[in-house]
Parts: sequence; structure tokens; C-alpha cells
Amino acid sequence: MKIVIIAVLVSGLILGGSEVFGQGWCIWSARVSASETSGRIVVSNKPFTESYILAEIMIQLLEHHTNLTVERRIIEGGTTSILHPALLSGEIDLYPEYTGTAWQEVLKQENIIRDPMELYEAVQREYEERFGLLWLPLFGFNNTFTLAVRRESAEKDGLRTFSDLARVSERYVFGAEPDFFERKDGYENLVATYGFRFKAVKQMAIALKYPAIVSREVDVINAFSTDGLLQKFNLVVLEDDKGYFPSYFCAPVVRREVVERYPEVSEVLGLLAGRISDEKMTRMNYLVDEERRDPKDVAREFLKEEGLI
Amino acid sequence: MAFLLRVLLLAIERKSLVLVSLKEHVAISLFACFLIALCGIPLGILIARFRTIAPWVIGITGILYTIPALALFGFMIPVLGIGIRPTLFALFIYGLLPLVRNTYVGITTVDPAIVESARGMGSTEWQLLWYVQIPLALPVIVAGFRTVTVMTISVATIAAFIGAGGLGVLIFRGITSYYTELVVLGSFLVAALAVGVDSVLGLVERKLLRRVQM
Repeated sequence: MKIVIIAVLVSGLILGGSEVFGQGWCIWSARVSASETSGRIVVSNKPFTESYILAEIMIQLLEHHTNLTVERRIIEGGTTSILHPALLSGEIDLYPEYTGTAWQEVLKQENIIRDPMELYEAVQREYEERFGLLWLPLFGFNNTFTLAVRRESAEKDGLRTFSDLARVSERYVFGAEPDFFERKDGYENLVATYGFRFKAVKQMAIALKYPAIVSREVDVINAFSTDGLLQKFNLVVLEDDKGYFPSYFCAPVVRREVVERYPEVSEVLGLLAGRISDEKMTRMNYLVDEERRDPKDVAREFLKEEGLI
Repeated sequence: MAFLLRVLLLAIERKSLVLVSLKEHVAISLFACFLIALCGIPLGILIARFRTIAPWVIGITGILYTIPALALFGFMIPVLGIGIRPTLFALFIYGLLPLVRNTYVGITTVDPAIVESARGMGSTEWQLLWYVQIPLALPVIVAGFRTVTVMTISVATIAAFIGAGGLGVLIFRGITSYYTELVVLGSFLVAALAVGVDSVLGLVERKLLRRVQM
């Protein structure tokens, strides 16, 4: 048993490493062909499960409702700092991006806009003016930081929101990964906003956070709101009732020329507006991450259930 | 220069965090060293006395030594929980091999002529061990312990993986939030601590050896 676990962790490390090494090669390969040929659109995504699923959903929807040839171009290690330039140079035509990431990382804005819709509109405006890129309607879910507790604690103490947790925080041990304690939207200001007085605070490796809460070593952890692990370990996400964490709503970002040439792209992708709730996204992440399902199948099932294909 | 100044200012600004981390680090690593010495040296002596089990003991401690810390923590959470216990456990199994091996090698490589003459004078196996082999092996054993101490102080940064605090807290916070000053501050303190403790042990070693060699 030990050996198996070690083997899994070690191979995880190796794969994680190769993703980084693969980056340079893939940027190069992405430059080889352009997407300017007619009737063709190139979709990409970020290198994590949620983004793969979203790309699949968009690809299948476009293939079903338009005559365009949809090409998928995966850029390994392709985070915002790689995908955004690729979009500007026309190597890719669209990918799913998050409002909070766009505001902070691409637009380099220091101020935090608390209202999600205000943030979306600000990002939309800036992207069009500065880059000629369009933000299509939001999918509906918000993949932001949140706090999660075990289901039984939530039931016993009647926890629904962060403020509920503040009432009983003296009995709760808080656990988070190192960078949460250094971020501007991290621990210190969170505690100041809600007046938490945790019994103890434990800094630990991100990979050990879920095992620790399941074995009752900590009682509350920070988490990403659509993480499939929340479902796997039966954790309850609390509501950030004072809107402390910036929002990370997600939408397709697409080049304006593409929409001008193929208006059907924005019409078809508009069908997804508000269709993917936090719960639905968490569920799909869970199916891919934990049940090892193919993102293609998960995407198809989602579209069928929603009656979109 | 400006960078070092920023590190210094950071240390002053985060004084309470730095002091708490340093205290935790000292406590964890020194207690771990104590446990390692308490088990490692007797175990080394034992396998030097009963040599048939030596390959087994060294083999097993060798395997333990190779388990990555994060993997170890991962599957030990249900048993040891988080915090100080799994940290001590990890430091213990990492420190065991060098000390057991040094003790064993130190004792078994004592000049056979000396061992023979002690036997010739009629000493029992245990007397031989206690009055001849161990004193003569002491430099190697102490050298092993110094290695283990330096190693343990630096490896104790993994305490921050599992909620046990220590200077690793500064280092990992710095790394994950691209805060280089914090990484340098944490690393500098770990290094200073290791060098400091090692030189104290160096003094002890010199005193000890002078006595033995008289």
C-alpha cells in the first residue's frame, strides 16, 4: 500500500515537472500553423481540468451548431501569460478566462472590485479597448477562494456563511497552504474582515490539506469553490457573505475579428450564458479528476442534459 | 546591498513570526536529534555486537531514508495526524541511517590487533565493546552525529508542510508567493542555526576526544 502511494506521488511529481519542461516546446509548436484559413477556429484552454472541460463543451457546441472546423490546440503549461499573447497574435482564437485573473494578471490592476458584475464589465471594456478581444457571456460559476468545512460540522453548528463560522471559530482549527498567508486577498485580511478567532492556525502543503481535514486534524480549510475534491471528501463550502474574496467568474475570451467574420460563434457560445453553476462545475471536475472520466464525455453529457445538443 | 537591507527590514517587521518560527525550529530539530541519538547509537552498537542482523537493520533504515517527506506525511496523517508528531517521525527516520551506520562502521573498523590483545587479556565481549571498541570508535560516532544534526536542522524545514511551524514557514510562504526576501531570510536563519550548532558540537567533540585519547 505504502509503495503504491509513493509511486503515485512520485509519478505525479515527474509529470508535474514535465509540464514545465514541455512549455517551451509547445509554444514553438503553436506558432507553426495559423488559424486564418476560412471556416476554421482554434480553441485552447488552461492546463487544468476545469479549463479542459470548458474547452470541450465549447468545441462540441460549436461543432454541433455551426459549419466551422473547430481545432483544439492544447498548449501544455499554457497559463494566462502564454494564452493571452497567443490570442493577441492570432495563434488561438478563444479560450476560457477568469475575470479576477484577467483584472489582476493581464490588466495589472491593483484595486479590487468587489462586485462581480462590475468587475466583469470593467474587464470586458478594457479588453475590447486595449486588445480588441471580446468577453462573451459568463458561464455562471465562480471559481474563487472560499472556506470549506466537514459536512457534519456544518450541520452541528448550523454553518452556512463565513459569518456563521465567525460565531464558533474559537472551536475551529484553520489550515491553508503557505501562499494563502502572504496574499493580499489572504488570511490576514480575511480574519480582519470576519473577526475569526481560530483555535489554531496550521500552515501545510496544499496536497495535505484535504487529508488533514478528513482526519479531523483541521476543521476548516481554504479551497477553490469548484474543486472536485470538495465533493469527493464531502465538504461543505461556506458562503462569503461579506464578499471578501475577489470573484473569478469564467467566460470565453475571443478575438474580435473572429466574431466579425463568424458572428455565429458568439451566438452559439451565448447559449452557455449562466448555464454552468458552481455545483455543476464542481460535479464535472469531480467526474474527471476523481472518477477518471474523459473530459470529452463529461462535456457531451452536460450538453445533452442541458438540451444544448 | 539594497536587497540585504530589505531582508533585514523584513526580519524586523515580522519579528514575532520570525521569533516563533525560530523557536519552533530549534525545539523540533534538537528534540529530533536527541531521539535519533537515543536510538541510533544503541542500535549501531547492537548490530556491531550481533553482526548477522547488521545488513537487515542498515537495509531497513536505508529504505526509510529514501521515502519522500511529502509521501510520508500523506499516508501517515490517519495515524500520526498533523503537527509535531509526524515531523519528529520523519526527522527520526531520516537521521537514523547516518548515525547507525557511522556507529557500526566505527566499532567494526577498530584495529583488529587491539581487539585481539584485549581478548588475550581475558576481557568478555561486552567489556571489549565498552572499554575498547566504543572509545576508539567515538570520533567516527561523533562525526556521524554532527552530520545528522546539520542535516536535521536543514531538513526540519519540512515541518511547515504539515502544520508544525518552524523556519520552513517563512521559506515556503516566500516561495509560493514569489517573495524572495522571505525565502532568503528563512534560509539564512536555517543555515546560521546549523552552522552555530555544528560549531558547538565541534567544541564538545574536541574536548571529548582529548579525554578519550589520554
